[in-house]
Amino acid sequence: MLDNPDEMVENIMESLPDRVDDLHQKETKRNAILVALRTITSAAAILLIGLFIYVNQPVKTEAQNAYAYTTDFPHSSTLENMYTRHLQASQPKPISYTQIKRMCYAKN
Amino acid sequence: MTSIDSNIIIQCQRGEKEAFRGVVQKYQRMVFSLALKMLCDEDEAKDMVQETFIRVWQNMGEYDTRKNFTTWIYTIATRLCLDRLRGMKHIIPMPDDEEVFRRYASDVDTHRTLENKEWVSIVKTLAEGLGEKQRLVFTLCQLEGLSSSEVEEITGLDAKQVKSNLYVARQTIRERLKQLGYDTGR
Repeated sequence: MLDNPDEMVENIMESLPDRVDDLHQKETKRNAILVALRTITSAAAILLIGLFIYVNQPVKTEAQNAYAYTTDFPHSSTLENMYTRHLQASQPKPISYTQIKRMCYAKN
Repeated sequence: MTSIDSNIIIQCQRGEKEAFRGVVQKYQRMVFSLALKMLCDEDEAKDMVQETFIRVWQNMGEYDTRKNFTTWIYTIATRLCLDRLRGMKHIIPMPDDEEVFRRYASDVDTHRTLENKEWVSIVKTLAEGLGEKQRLVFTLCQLEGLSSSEVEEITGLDAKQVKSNLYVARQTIRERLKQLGYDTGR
């Protein structure tokens, strides 16, 4: 049924792409994509781990800090120092501190 | 179905173009015959042959040597034909096509080899109104003479689907013959 089979064969042979090169190129491209993906996912993983550690750090309450400088009167403190500390302690506490204190009292 | 030496396939898989020449020479008529009957256009069919072999060449590495090579080529060709068919307008027979069909039907020599144009006219006239799957199954089973199991493998349809598509195709063609004034008595 084909009127000129030889011509058809030649046409097909001429239009064949260089398969081996094509495959090699494809593979190189695929590898590059894989490497890029790996880098991105690794960076994301590291970020997530960092975020996890940061979020789970033990919270040092301001209440503890405030208590520390109100009661801590070393023996070597002068009267002036003690008075300054007393003034600092009598200043209005941060909201979180008062809240935590209220919660502590409520529990007790 | 024809088979091919497995060494040629291995050489093609290695990227040896000269080995592939043998594959093209062996199977181009088969692919052209299918494409001509599916697309009903000689030029489109020739393009399809070229496209099919380029696709075969590009995918030689994926060919599973345990499977039938002819079936594999048929599978690629049918998929490409179906894609092309979807992009084409409806295949509508012209009065000339009916004339060709009538001449063929009244011919005493039933074993005459048909010309491409005759094939196109006859298929256009008979297969009008067939869905793409019915056209495919009808072409493979009736016009190309493949077995049901081969058609199942090529099309990916199961035995029931092949049977039902073929049944619908035959019924449609029977109706069409009635329209053309031929008694199709069972």
